[in-house]
Amino acid sequence: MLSKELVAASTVPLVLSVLAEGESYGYALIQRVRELSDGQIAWTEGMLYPVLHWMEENDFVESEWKESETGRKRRYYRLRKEGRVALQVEKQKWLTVHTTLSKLWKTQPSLT
Amino acid sequence: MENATQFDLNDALRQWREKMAASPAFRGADLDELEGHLRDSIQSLQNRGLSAQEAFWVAASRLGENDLLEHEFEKVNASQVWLNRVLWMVVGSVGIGLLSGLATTLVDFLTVGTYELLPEYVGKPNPHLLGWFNLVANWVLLVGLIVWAFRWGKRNEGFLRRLGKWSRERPLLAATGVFLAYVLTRVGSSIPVPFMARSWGATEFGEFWTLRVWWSLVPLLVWPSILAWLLMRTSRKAAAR
Repeated sequence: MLSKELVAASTVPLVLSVLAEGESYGYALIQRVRELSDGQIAWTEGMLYPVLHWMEENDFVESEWKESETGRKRRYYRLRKEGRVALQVEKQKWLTVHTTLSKLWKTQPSLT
Repeated sequence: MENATQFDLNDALRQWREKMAASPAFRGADLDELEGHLRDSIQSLQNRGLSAQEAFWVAASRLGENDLLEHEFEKVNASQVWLNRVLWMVVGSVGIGLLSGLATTLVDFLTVGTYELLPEYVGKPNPHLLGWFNLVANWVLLVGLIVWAFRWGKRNEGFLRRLGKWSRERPLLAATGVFLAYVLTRVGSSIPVPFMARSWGATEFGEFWTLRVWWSLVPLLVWPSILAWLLMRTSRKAAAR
């Protein structure tokens, strides 16, 4: 399980990345992340919505209420241009951390 | 049995929602979304063999504690709620002013145009008839425009939200724009007046104008009543939640 801080920090890039696959809604977004992380990233589910709304306020995403296959109304979120830009920025940041750690971990065996 | 279970679940969801709705941190749409999430979650848990009651408890606990959610939603909503209400009230009254100016201009031109175009052998309508035609057409058109604007606004919620955000970021520019639009419609609505006066002559125009000015006092009473009714309805709705 990830720490609270790491979960909080990774929420925005995760949401942006899932939405880059196509429009989605809150519950499906959570399922997708849980499935990809083998259950390691488990959000307090309700906390996702204020994040989505914040992203909408900042024009990263737009939302629309649509009828789902169950007949109930569901709020679908779609990535906007500003969101794609934000995703690129996030990607750069996380790749920097990732490559740095990878390099360190690859060289570690030869050091010990 | 199935029915009884179903009823319990809906009842539990209703109670859950009532508890959440007590906090001003959640807007109606937030609760719709959270309830939808709960229902999806419950459905999937039931598919995996949990009873309705178990599924409800697991889904609700996964959603998070009320206090925690309230705190997070408050951050996103609190500053918005009142600012938005005031903003939309101003936008609404200015919008109705603009539409009313537009309706008056169109109907005045229509009135004077009808008068001019009617051939002599049909007979020219008297100022009273013209006045009533003018008033009724104005009201019908205004109500039509308001209904249309309301529907258009509902369909273009995203655009309106972006427009609201844009104006909040440039308040001076937005205020100037609204002011100019208002002045323009006021100026526009006074353009047909000299045409009507010239067409009918002083006495007849005087009669027409007196009728119109007297009867345009009616909307001054009607608008506050509509506003009061709307306020009462929303507060009753809020109390019911």
